[in-house]
Amino acid sequence: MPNRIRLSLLVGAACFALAALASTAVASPSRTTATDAPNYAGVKTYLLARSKQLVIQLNGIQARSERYYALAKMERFSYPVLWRKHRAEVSSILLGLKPAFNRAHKAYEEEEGIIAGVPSLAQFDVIMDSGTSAADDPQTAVPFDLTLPNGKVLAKPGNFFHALLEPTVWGTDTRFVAPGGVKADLDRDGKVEFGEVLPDANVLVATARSFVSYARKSDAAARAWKPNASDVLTALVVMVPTVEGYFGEWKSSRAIAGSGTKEKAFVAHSRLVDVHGILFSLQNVYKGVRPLVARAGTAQSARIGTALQQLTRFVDEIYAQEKAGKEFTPKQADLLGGQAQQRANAIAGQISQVAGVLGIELQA
Amino acid sequence: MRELRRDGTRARRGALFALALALLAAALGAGPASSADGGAPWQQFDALDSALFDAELAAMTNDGAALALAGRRAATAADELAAGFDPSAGANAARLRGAAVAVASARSGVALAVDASTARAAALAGAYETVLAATRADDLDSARDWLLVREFKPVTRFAHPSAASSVAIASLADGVIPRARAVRSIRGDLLDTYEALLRSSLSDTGDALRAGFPEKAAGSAATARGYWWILRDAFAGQRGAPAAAQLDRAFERVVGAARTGKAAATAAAATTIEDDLLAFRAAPLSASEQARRAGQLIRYLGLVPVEYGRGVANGNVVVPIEIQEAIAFRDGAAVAFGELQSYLAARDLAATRSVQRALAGLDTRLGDAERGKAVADPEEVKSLAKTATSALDDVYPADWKAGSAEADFDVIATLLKKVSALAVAGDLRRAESSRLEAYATFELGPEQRLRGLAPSLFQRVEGLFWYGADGHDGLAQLLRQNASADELAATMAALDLALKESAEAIGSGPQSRAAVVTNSAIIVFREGLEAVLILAALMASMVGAQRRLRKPLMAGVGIALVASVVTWVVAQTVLGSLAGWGEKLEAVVSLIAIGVLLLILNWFYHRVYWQENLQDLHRKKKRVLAGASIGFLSAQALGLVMLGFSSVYREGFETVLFLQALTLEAGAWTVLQGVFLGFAGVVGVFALVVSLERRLPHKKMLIATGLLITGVLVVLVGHTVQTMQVVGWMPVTPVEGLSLPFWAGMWFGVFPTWEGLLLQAAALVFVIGSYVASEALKRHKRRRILAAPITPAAVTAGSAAELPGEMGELRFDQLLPRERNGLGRAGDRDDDRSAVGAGGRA
Repeated sequence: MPNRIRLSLLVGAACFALAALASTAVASPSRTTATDAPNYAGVKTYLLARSKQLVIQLNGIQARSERYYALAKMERFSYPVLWRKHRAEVSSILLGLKPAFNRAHKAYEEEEGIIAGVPSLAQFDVIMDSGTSAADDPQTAVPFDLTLPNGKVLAKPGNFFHALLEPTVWGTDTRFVAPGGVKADLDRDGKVEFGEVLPDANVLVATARSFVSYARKSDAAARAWKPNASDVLTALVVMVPTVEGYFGEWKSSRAIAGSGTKEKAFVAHSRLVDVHGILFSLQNVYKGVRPLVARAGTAQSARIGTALQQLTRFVDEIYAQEKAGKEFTPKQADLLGGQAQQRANAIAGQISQVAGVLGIELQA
Repeated sequence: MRELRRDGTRARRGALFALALALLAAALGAGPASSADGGAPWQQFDALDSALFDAELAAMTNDGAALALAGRRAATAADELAAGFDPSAGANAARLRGAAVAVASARSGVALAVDASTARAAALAGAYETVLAATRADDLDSARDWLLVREFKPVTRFAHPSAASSVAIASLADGVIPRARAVRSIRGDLLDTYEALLRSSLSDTGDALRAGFPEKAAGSAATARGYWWILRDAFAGQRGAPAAAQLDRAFERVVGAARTGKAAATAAAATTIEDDLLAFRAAPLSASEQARRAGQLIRYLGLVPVEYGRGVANGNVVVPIEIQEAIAFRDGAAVAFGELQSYLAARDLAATRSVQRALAGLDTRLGDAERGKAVADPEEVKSLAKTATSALDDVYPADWKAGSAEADFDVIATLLKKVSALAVAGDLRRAESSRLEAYATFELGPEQRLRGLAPSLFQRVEGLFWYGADGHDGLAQLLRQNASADELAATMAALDLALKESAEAIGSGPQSRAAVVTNSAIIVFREGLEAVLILAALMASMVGAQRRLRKPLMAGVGIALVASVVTWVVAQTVLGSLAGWGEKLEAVVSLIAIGVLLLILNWFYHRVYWQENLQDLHRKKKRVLAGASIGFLSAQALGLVMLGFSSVYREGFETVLFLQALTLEAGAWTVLQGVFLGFAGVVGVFALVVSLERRLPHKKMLIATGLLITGVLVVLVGHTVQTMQVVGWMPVTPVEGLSLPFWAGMWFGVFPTWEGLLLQAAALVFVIGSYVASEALKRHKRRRILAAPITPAAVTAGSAAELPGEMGELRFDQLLPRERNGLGRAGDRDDDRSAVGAGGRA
């Protein structure tokens, strides 16, 4: 029986390999000719769609947060009373926040390759997704302070997604958990599981309000952005090699390091989802700029396009295995991360060559 | 039953992982790389890489079948890849084939990591040799294909991977560069890359062992050894074959130690290699690149204590961002030091170590301050930076100390990037501070040379830093207005372009000897013009009784010339420190010049002409110089000395600095020829003005002198305002939409800022107003006098000076209408030079 399973899976794998082979051949970038014009408008359209989506999702999060805050305020911020009197509504709000977070984050990750990679937009990545708190690392800290409705100020608290919203919603940062020690079985399954907490309403609503405000600013900046070869190639060179950092975070997240990890973020979903989002957005960026790259050499263009596809598929397959239940050891995660990084460096290097040959300046 | 279930679970897990491997193989190896003919070199390399990776993954899960499969794929790919190598890469082809074949039979994860890394590195080494061989053979298609099989330095905050190799091949194909140069560029680029990667692989080896990843450690050690194969020839060329053979053995020891997981032995062997490589640089930097890095190192080190000092007060970090900037500059210094390390170590190992320690010390202290662990005293940071700069000063050869404009441009670019980032983040105060730092770097370095080599460019750069140029607003203006990111980006792009052109102008040096002579002459002529116009106008009018006033004026000029020569001599040795004071000193001396000029104008015209000259004419020398008789140290004389000095030295100091910079570019003799030419022009203008004025009737001469000095005053005010704006002593408010040509600023001191234009207008209004007021007063008094009864006795005996008010400035013959006073034409002879001359001489 086990042998049969193994055999059937191997056959399946072989079929997949053939399919992958076929899809690679179909998607071969060699069809691009040097006379095609780069499609910057396409890149921008892609960006604006995600940017708008992010604002929409965050509006939803803010609406839930405002309602939660109103209820808490009504009960004078006595969370045991809040839980006792409004259990159903609070549960509904908080349970709905998690998928809303994931949708918002997905929208962002799919634009992150551009936002973080284009120098004029990069500050929004620091604010929304990558900036640390001043306490952790002032060098990479966010530039804002968060003022709560009760007047308390969180000085340079870290980025909105992973240092504020995620730890607040999932309760991984005890500072953001509502006082009162309420054991909130939100899904009424009889167990208080990981992520079932009442957040501090002041932190939640302040985070949501400020986050929406910055997302709108980011959207406005994206609208004002005029894509050009330098911006787009810089985004690729800067962002592709960041996969190493993501794999590092994946390695230290609950998914690999287990519940004993000190990592407070990346609990909403696997960090590999984020890597996928970034690579997906970079593939779209590359699609727009590929005719330009082809001017430097069709072989180079093919090399870059193929490598980007392979890297994305590589990440997707690891995620597929993780989702299917495979538990990776830190050593395996390290090996996979090293391989991804090696390939990412090669892609960034090749794009640098293209920029050099075409005389396009890459920005720092 | 339980055993059966366990077997089943194990089988399912194995199957799952087999599936994983197949999927990964599909992901990584699918595509043209796996085609029957092997495809292009990069596809063959990808196929090899994927197979090696799969083998490592299989070894990690003890999946023998998958390992064997991956090993066979690796051997096939290696064979195809090696078959394409140039014959000169035979050794690496053998290593590649051998290691790839060994993969399938590796007995442990560590052994497999060594084999896989060896195969991969040998493939890269073979590709490196093949690229060079193909380029030498003019087979550029093949060179391009094989150049796709290479590694790159990782992207960092300070640098992107170099594109030198690809650019070299493209340039060779276009016939822009010769083949030998292309080969040199490619070799240099690749060696530089692999040298950096070798050092990081050695470092990774120790890190991996400490982290408990022996396979990774072994792989890193084998990778370092593979990179060594690429660098070996360059090393042997510089140090000799025995030294290279010694390193061969050291690398084998590292791999051997890492293979057995012996951390201490691995670390010891790695340290030996690092020491041996300390003074080695595979791709030697050109002389200008060395000077550039040397300049960067010194400049970045200099900025570290400045930023740190701003960020710390009373043992606390008060402005964290300043600490981060100090760290950024320290990191920049460390990068430059890394590039220069081998040269420095070859010159003086002890001093190099001292710099290394100082940089490490700075790293620790800045890091501690940033993390709030401990806040070092700013003096300590200053002392560490000083230790490093002093050690560098001892080691640097003279041409590195002369300063590198390229290094200045690098620092300016770094600071401007900071300006953009801070402005976009809304921190305008600090953006402005960085802008000033960037401008100061420009002003102290490239500007001096640029004035001699491309004067219009310097003004363009200056305009973009301040009040605008090329149709773009100035950076100072944009920051003050909190302008949009687009506007800022447009100015930044224009500034970037102007700086690039400036760097090129300086980099390519003087276009010709004639250009240097001409530029030197223009500098001397331009700088000397204002002074000479003031002096000539005044001297021309100092005739007769006023001739004596020439002495103190010329004494001031003489002192200024001597001071300028002394400045030249001093500047020979301390150009940098003098340049730091350049514009501030110019601003101060200019202010003195304006003040003295206004004083002298007022005194000279209102007192000397009206009171002395004309009274003298009428009173026949009776009291001619008695009241104003003037010892050399009188206030009047001192005023003239000061006027002579300030008029000349303010230009002399600046001229010395500009010419010093030009001397570095073109040599003293060439510059001196320009100086003589410019000086001749200045003397010519002087003689011309004096001669023309002397030919004019006296009254017209006075008017011409007044107009000339007024004009010079306006120009002087314009230049002084601009200088004060540049040193930050006066705000800058550009005139929207006004763009002035280069010559308007250079020759007339007219710059498109409200401060400059308004103050120039104010100076003009002041002089004209003063004249009009004086005339009005005269008319008023004339009316008063005409209204009073006139007696000849009163006229002849009375001294104008004794009359109340300003009567001393009035000429009697002007007081009466000719038809009424009956004095006729004789009274009009005051515009007759002979009469004045006679009066003066009598």
